[in-house]
Amino acid sequence: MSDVHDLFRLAADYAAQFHDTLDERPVGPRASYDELVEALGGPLADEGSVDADVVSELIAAAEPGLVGSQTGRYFGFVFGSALPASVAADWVASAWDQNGFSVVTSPAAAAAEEVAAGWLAELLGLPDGVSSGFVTGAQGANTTGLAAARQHVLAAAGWDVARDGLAGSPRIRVLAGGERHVTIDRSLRLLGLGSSALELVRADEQGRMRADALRDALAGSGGPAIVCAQAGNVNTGAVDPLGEIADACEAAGAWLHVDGAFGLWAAASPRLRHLTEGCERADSWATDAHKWLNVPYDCGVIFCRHPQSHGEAMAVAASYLQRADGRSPSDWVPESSRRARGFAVWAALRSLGRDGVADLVDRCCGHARAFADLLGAEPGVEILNDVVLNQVLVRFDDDDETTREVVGRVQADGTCWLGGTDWQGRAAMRISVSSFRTTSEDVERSAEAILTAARSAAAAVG
Amino acid sequence: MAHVTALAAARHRILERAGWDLARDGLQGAPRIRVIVGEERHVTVDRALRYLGIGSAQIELVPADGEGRMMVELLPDALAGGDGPTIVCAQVGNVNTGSCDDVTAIADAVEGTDAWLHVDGAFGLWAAASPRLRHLVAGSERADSWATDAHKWLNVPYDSGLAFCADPEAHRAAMSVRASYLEQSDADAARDQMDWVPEFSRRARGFPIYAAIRALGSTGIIAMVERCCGHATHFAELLGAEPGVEILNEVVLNQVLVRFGDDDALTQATITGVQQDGTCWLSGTVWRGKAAMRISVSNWRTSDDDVERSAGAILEAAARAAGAVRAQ
Repeated sequence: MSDVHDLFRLAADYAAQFHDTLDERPVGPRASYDELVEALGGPLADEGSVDADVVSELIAAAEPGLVGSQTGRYFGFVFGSALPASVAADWVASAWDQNGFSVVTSPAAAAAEEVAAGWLAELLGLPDGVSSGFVTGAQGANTTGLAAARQHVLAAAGWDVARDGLAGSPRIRVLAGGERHVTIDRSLRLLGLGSSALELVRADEQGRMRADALRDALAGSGGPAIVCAQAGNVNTGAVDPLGEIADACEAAGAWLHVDGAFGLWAAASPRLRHLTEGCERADSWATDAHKWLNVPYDCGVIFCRHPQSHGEAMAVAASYLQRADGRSPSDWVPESSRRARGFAVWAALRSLGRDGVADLVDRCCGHARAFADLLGAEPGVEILNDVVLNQVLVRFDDDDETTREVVGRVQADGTCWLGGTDWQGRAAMRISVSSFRTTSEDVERSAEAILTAARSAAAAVG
Repeated sequence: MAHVTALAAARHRILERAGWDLARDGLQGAPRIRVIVGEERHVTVDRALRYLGIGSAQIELVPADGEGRMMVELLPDALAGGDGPTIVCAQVGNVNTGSCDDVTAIADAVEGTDAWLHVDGAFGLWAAASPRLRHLVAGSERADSWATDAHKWLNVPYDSGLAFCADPEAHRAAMSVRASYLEQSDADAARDQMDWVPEFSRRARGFPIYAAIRALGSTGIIAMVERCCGHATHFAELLGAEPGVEILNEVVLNQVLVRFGDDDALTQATITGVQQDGTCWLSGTVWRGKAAMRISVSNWRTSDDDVERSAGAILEAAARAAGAVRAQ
């Protein structure tokens, strides 16, 4: 560990150079998984190596297997990018090696989370006084929110799940839209609620839960019930009718959880806020900062209207964990020792400001509409969804095989990267725009590459 | 979350053995799970179980000895004292004393039953890396699952924990999901990380771990673990030589519990004095009803000089605290 200055400078210089050359880099990986395991692999060495050599070798071995999520032309999944200020803040957090467990383990980390969570709640239009926790992602946020829900609805039925567990408890009904995200199922499984406890409520053609179907399903239900609504369908970007869903939950005494991994960010834009209207009436909210806020992986956030149930579901207490006054970050999340996630979020929000976040969200949605316009104008190309947010589903020649072929050709071409999906039984190309770096030129270049791939695919398939 | 992951795999497997489909039917109506743990287990085990829908009333405590180790001679009776799907949690590295359960005896007791053996080795499992200390965790290799941290003794940045499971099928079944838009790898062709953890989108934790292992090599890891334990022993010698200062634990690993004047208030005042002084930082705990200073050595940077300076500062704080008490 001879020269820490040179080592850290090596990493910073490389990162800056990587940043400068993003535009020339292929957007997809160039090496296969097996090749990467081979490049990184070998036996565990007895002797260590010089730190700078280790980092240089890691860069050389890993680089061919990177995906271009830092470029403006990565449209796979909903990845977001990473704002420079938040990347640098995250480096500093690592250099500090702060443990975000409690006020005692790092007052700075606890304070940054407290401040950043307050700013986020305000941006997302959530009520005053919500409890919050920084977790690994929306998966963890969904699990945490649903754990608070489980605690709360069973307590209302006279059952202490923290003490007595779920075996023998009153049965919980969980209702979610037919097009909910798969993380909901996984969170429920983790919490001990099996797939048979999940009742699917019919979704419309955009993937939105139908509020009338929810009302019918809840009618006559008196027992513990949890409703999982969605802001931002992973394929279409559609947002459930949250106001009507909140009405139905209120009437039935059900807990309303909103999975808003990326869609909740519509609330940060005055132009798009109408999409998430009613979401402020929910009991818990899950979202990601590493997606649309463009902070580095990983960072999800849970908010809850019922701090007591949230705390009872999550908090630890033991004699060696000295409490100080203030908010103990780990009381609101399932982790104990944790990365100090608040620093990167704080930096992202400071660098963008309220207007910058709104602009980022609006710009991504504008790019999605531009994609739909450019691609939809071409004969044989169909846009399958109403492009209300940042998602575009594209189908070619109304044919599964052709569509999958186009996706494969675009991935091989390397101008941009995007994935495929099945939407209501039909293959589709899935474009997600969630990077602060994406420009109109990126969209035009990418649309052109997609259309070129479509023409060659049509020729090959036809 | 390593506990959550491993115990979710355990829950899946033991309920399957009892003929219950957990993924479909959940825990409501399922056979009641018993969890047998040492009285001095870490709180994260309780929290992980609560998360998984297993309540505190389902946790059965086996008394611990003076070092916090599960009294293994009581385990067979505990196992025989009930029936149904059972998980046994052993601990290597008590958070206060650093002591390790006798995992060989625990594995012997569990063998032949249908119980799942989980080892909480957040930091203590790293003793296995050292030929000199490996005996402390002997028998751990017979467990069904293991939880440990890389951000502790491997000294990578927060956060990075690891779950290992001897039953990959149960591990994967407890964690994996499929969705059409994910373009997931064929299970036989490549390892998609999301199939083995409770997270979805995640930080790429492998890079810093890879770099730490490459930078240290196994020799360097062994040296780091042994050096930390040597420093702990050194602390115990320097402090324990002072009249009125008592070392409450056998310093087998990296943990030292120190008590001053056999008095809670004096011990607490000494801890506060050290925290205010700023030469070093350490915290307090309550061990078996007595206040104690808790010293943990787990940093690659700690040198002999650091230990000597810190011990000096602690003894000065103790003297100041004793003087203040006398003056009252």
